[in-house]
Amino acid sequence: MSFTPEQNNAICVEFFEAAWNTGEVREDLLASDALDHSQVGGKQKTEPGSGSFKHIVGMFRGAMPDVKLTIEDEIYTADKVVHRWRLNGTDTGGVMGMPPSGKAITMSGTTTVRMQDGKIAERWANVDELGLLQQLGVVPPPPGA
Amino acid sequence: MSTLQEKNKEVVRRYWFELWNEKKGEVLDEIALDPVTFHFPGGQAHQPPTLHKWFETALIAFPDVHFQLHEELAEGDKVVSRWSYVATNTGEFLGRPATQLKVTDQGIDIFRLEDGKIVEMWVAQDSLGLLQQLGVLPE
Repeated sequence: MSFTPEQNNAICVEFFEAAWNTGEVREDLLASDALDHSQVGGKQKTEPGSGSFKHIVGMFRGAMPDVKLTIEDEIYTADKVVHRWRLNGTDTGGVMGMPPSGKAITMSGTTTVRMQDGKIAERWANVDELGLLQQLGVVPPPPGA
Repeated sequence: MSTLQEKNKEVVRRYWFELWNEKKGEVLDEIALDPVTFHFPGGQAHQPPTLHKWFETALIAFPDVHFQLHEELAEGDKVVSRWSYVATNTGEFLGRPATQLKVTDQGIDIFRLEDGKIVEMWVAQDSLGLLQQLGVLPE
């Protein structure tokens, strides 16, 4: 079965909205050996399966249970989908083992996905983790350019 | 793939290979509007006002910076590049003296082009990892 780039994008939107907004990692939209290359939270290794996706979503939703995903740009062609996105939430659960700050957090990122047979087969992502730590007051704001 | 997207990809390849890898600053005015509209994440370590300034600062701080382009795709007026670099910090960066440390980073940038020139860029990379590698922030 062949999927159009538009269908591939719609599947990614469904997957990431469900994951971030409700915490449900939709295994039916994820290849069983899906590779997550993202290095979020200091993760170094790429391991197949849904575990890495569940871990990252769980980590952020644990810190910000009210987190909401906004997809700000969608670019897709052939088997690839790129989303530029933003997460907004309140730090009521505590980030990276720190006590909850109660602060409203906004965090941007960009994700590239390779789709295969209508499922997410590979994911690369960059997340503004430094910006998160700056908003929490853990590290100083960026120096002047 | 239509010609516009192929042409736009060519322009962005010149950005990575001729500008950054071959250090040809003179191509900047051929491939990009001045200034390009930048969209940096809040936590971007270095937020230069223009591409000219960015290139100048990088040549001081990381003169051997070398990029690899892992993926490129184009749709409409946008081009996406997934990249990584290796570089040695042999000059001042963010007001700090050279560390002589070898660093690496990876990211995904989105470019918007008009009339064959880069006019807007959305940047996403691992600034936290970079500052940790440079010893500015603890691991």
